[in-house]
Amino acid sequence: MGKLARYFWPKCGLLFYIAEDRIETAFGFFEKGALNIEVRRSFPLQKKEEFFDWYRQIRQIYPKLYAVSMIETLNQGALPGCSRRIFEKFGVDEALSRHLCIEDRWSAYVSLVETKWLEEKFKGIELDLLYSPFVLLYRHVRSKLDEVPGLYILHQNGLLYMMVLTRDRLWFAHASAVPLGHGKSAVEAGVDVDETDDLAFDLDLLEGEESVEAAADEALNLLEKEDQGNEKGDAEDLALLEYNLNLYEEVKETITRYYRDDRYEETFIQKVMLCDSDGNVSDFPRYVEDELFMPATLERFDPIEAMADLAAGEVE
Amino acid sequence: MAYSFLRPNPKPRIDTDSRILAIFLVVTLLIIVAFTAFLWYRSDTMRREIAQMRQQEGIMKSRMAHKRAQIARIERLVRKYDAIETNNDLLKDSIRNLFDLVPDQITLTRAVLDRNGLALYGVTPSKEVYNYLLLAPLKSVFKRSTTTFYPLKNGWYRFVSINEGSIEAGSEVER
Repeated sequence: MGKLARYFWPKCGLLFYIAEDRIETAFGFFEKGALNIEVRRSFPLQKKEEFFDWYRQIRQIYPKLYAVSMIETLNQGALPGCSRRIFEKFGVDEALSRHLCIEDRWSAYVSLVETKWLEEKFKGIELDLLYSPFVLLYRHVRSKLDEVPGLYILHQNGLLYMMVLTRDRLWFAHASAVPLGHGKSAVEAGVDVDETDDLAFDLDLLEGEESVEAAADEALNLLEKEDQGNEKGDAEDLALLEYNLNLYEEVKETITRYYRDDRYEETFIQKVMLCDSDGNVSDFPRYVEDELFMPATLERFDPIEAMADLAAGEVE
Repeated sequence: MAYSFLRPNPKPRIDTDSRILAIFLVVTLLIIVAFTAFLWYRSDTMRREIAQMRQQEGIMKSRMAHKRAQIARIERLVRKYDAIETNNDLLKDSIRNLFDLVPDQITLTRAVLDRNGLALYGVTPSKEVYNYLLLAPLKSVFKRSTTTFYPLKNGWYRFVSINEGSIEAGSEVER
């Protein structure tokens, strides 16, 4: 009967998370203790109704559909313990947060307001599983943990979820945002790169001469195009560089914060691993190795795969 | 081990289309089962009716045989009655003839007519009168005729005549 039910009424998972201005989604079937992803789709955040429609269509076909997501916010964290005393020590109000104890060693928590906000934002979706980025990061790096304390960072949507871990315990956790640099903000603010103030020649000199004017226009167009391309490329490179530096600075500040915060038991971080889902922090390991003199690695992190891995174990 | 802030909501086992299909199948099955049960009930009732009719047929046959036997017996009785009536008529005639045969000189004191024959008791003035006037017609009627004489004081004879054969008298009716 179980096999029959699995054949006719399979368990399915619809996983989604917000990536900047898009909703990244994936659909798959729970089979043999794993969630096998079949389809991946991406919806603009402004057209989330399309995503809701897709969800409703799938749900009509597969009634055993589990909606899985992760919550991305700074109003969450992880604590090195599960007791009430720990929550009091770090000033986390249990009544105003959702929290869960992981392997009787540490806790993940998130503000109730944030979960309500998410539920309100995706009102058309009946959420079944909601994961903390800290939990996803922990599951991702768990097999790599050893006795050497390491700083494990999940970088997603410009947010950093950082955990200091060894095999048997969590030492420190913190969520923060990568500060937007000047270059980055310039690009993001949509500065008009068509401005011609910085052109290398004076257009006024060419006024009044039609033939010359036509030739000058042509030359001007070519130059404009070239300059636009160069400027845009340079601005992006600059923004990326600045972003990497800002990320590095933020990580460094977090490490300093950890060493200075008396509430945490102290250990010496000896390695850094950055799990990145945005794909724009390739320089970060080099900065860490050069500046902090500790090994740093960069890994690609796919939130869909991480959620699928966890959901498979939770859906019976 | 739970890793999620939320617990999965309970899911319906089947979707709407499958539910409609399942209901349709269940209703169809119910109809088939009900119809089968009805047919089974009807055939069972008919089997029982057939058995009852066979039983009644047996009873009727036995009754018919009984009636036939009764009819045969009645017919036999009728025949017997007719025979007896005929015999009685014959006997009546024989007795009438017998008494007509008795001459005036001979006085009968008793006559017993039974299945074995006729026994006559009486008085005769002489053996010769008896032999000539009564014995001769008796012998013509009966196969055997035996007479015993007892002399009386006045010279006459008391006689007892036992006649066997010929006349059927006192036959029992067969039941």
